Amino acid sequence: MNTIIKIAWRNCWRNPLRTSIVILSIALGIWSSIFLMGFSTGLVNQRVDKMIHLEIGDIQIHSTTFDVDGDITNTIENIEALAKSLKSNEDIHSYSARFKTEAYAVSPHGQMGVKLLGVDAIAEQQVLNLETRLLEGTFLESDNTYPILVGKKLAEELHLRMNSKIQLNFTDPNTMQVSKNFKVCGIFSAGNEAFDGTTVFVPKETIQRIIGSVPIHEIIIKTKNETQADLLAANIQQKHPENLIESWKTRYPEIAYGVEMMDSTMYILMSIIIAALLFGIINTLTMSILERKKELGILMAVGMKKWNIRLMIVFESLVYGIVGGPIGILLGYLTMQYFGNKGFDLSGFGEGLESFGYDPMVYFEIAPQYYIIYTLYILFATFIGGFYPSRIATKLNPIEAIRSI
Amino acid sequence: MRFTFIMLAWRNIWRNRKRAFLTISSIAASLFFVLFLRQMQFWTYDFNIKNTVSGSVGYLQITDSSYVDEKIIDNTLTSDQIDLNKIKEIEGVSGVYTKFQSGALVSTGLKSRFAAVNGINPLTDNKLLKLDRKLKKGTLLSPDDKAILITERMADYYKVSVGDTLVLMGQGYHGYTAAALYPIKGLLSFSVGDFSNMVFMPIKEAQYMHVAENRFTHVLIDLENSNDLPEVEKQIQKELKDPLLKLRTWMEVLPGLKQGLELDANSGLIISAILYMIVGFGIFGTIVMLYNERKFEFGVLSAIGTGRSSLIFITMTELFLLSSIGVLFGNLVAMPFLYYLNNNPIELGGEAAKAIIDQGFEPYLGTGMFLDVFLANSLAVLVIAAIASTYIIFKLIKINPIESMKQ
Repeated sequence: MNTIIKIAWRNCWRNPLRTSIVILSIALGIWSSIFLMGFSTGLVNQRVDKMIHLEIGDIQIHSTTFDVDGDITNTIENIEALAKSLKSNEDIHSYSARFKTEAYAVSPHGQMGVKLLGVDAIAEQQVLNLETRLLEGTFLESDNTYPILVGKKLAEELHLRMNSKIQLNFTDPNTMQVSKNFKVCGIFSAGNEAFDGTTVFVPKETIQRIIGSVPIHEIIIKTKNETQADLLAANIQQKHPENLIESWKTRYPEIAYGVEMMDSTMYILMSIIIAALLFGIINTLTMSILERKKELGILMAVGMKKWNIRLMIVFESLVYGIVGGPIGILLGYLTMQYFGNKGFDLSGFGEGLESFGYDPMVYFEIAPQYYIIYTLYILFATFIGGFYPSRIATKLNPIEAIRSI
Repeated sequence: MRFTFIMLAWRNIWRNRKRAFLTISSIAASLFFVLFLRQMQFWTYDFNIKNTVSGSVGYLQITDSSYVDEKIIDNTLTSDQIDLNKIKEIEGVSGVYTKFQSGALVSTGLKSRFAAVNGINPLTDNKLLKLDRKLKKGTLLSPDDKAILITERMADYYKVSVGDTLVLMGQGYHGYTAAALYPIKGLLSFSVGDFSNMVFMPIKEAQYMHVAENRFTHVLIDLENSNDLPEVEKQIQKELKDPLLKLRTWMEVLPGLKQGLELDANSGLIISAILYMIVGFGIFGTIVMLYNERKFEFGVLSAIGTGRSSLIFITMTELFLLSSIGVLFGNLVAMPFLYYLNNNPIELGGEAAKAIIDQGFEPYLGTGMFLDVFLANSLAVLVIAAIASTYIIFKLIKINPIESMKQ
């Protein structure tokens, strides 16, 4: 066995240029797979991260009828008991209870439908980091009685600047249409047009002034351990069955699915790359066998067993993977380290990216198990790649093979 | 002589059938993947532009210059400002449509939500916006109706159906309040998110409601072929005499969509580049082997007086034929698949569809039959083969018959 491995190894290096080419192409194939994976993972994870920390929180609570009816009367049930249990829950970092309704925003320069959020500024800033994304002004800290925080996109559409007036119209719990002027106290940019264009924040006190109470429609929660959000949501749900408690994954399945879809896309791409590599490997090995017909004939004639010859050729193929794989992995690892720290600049596509909530600076990320998966994948591929050529070898007739030039 | 060389090259290819077959199939397979990927991307590009652009934004649109960043009814146009018939006659223009778009608070009882209001011309728009296919309940509008179509999602929210009435309230022309009550005539279903809150009414009624008779927000110009865009744009620009008018392409109106699609196309370019790199190495490997295998033969030929240029010509012809056959097969194998998916795009369902809609695209998968994609990628493979062949040219230029014949 050892001898066969040794022979295989030496066979490979009888033609160093050819072997190097195959190894290099395998290394580049692996490297590019890692590059694509790291890039997409970084892009998608950053988007999810950004959405959780700036827009939606880890867990959201609504009344069970909120999604069905979605009007101002669908408030959270049993709010005192719920608040008490949230406060005492050790896995919860912070939570913010919000008033939420659909409103119609009008400025002299245009009109837009918006989601009006009545929030407690301090609680809100503990859950979301939106204050880090303020372009101008403050997070609702203002001497005005009716301050409002708007997104960049909305500000552009309605031509709003600091201290601009904007009128909000919505239906109060008594089916009365109310309309009130607010003054812009800050402009944020979460880098997602859908959010920046349709979300406005006002202090809870203003809602109290307008409709005489502050109905709570939504509670957003920041957990201490993000990975446990699903479990925690299920836990709270068990204790408070009268409300609907969902982790972001359940509430926004399309975002979570984006991650999954990217994963399967990457596997498909990897398979295509491997398929292309396989052609190269098979081609090279077939060539090297046809070149060595005479020699293989002699080996057979002196009594080398057929399956030993097959094994030798499969080992030759494996050498490509064993050498090329780690080189590719190493290159990939270095690339990950570099772009993971420095980031990959895509600002040329700024607006297109931002309109879907992606950051123009992508920091590469990859789950470590992919290094192993890719290595196994390429070893498997080189193993398979050795089979067809080895069949050619064993089909040779020793006498004829020896006679050939 | 040349013909003999070409014959030689052709025979050289088939001296080693297995290798010829492998090389051809590796080129063909890679080209197949790349073609599939690129045709799918360009199809998506085209499909999304057609769907989101042609009906609502237009490949080209004319607005009042003030409407560009202030989309209010005050900044609307009248038909005296443009000669629409002249624009209709421009070659490449398949239709010119006047549009009235605005927004209003739509409410009933406790529920109110903002919705885009679309004043449409039922005679042309039912087809252009594919409303007939999107209608789920009720009937489509006719030009003199005082009624609206809403989306199914809105109907679910307001808990209303055909025959119920909704209140619309918005801003009209010159400070008027636009408010009216309209019965629902039909329910529509749109897949992409932007259309989720949308009200359609006959343009006449929309103008009446906004106290803006005979005014419209923009003129939408549809093209026969999207490739004609720059030419048609020039022609229309000539026709626009009024300096207050602004002609914009869909790319200027929706820069986000354009960049989103470009980003998608570019990611495809990177993946194609990776595949080409691997194909390149494959071809290079074949060339290296080919040379080593025939070193002796080249030496003999050279020794008996075959010129270097002839040697190079034969080998290059051989490689060119080999890669051309690969390219030809790649195209031939890809074509039926591409043709089938071009005629029968797959509609995605479930979470996958939602995730794609979340990215701002329509949840359909299909492939194009774009000639330039076939040509560009076929050419790319040939260029890669040509670059890889330089190895053998260098080797043949420096060939030393004595050395080569030593085995």
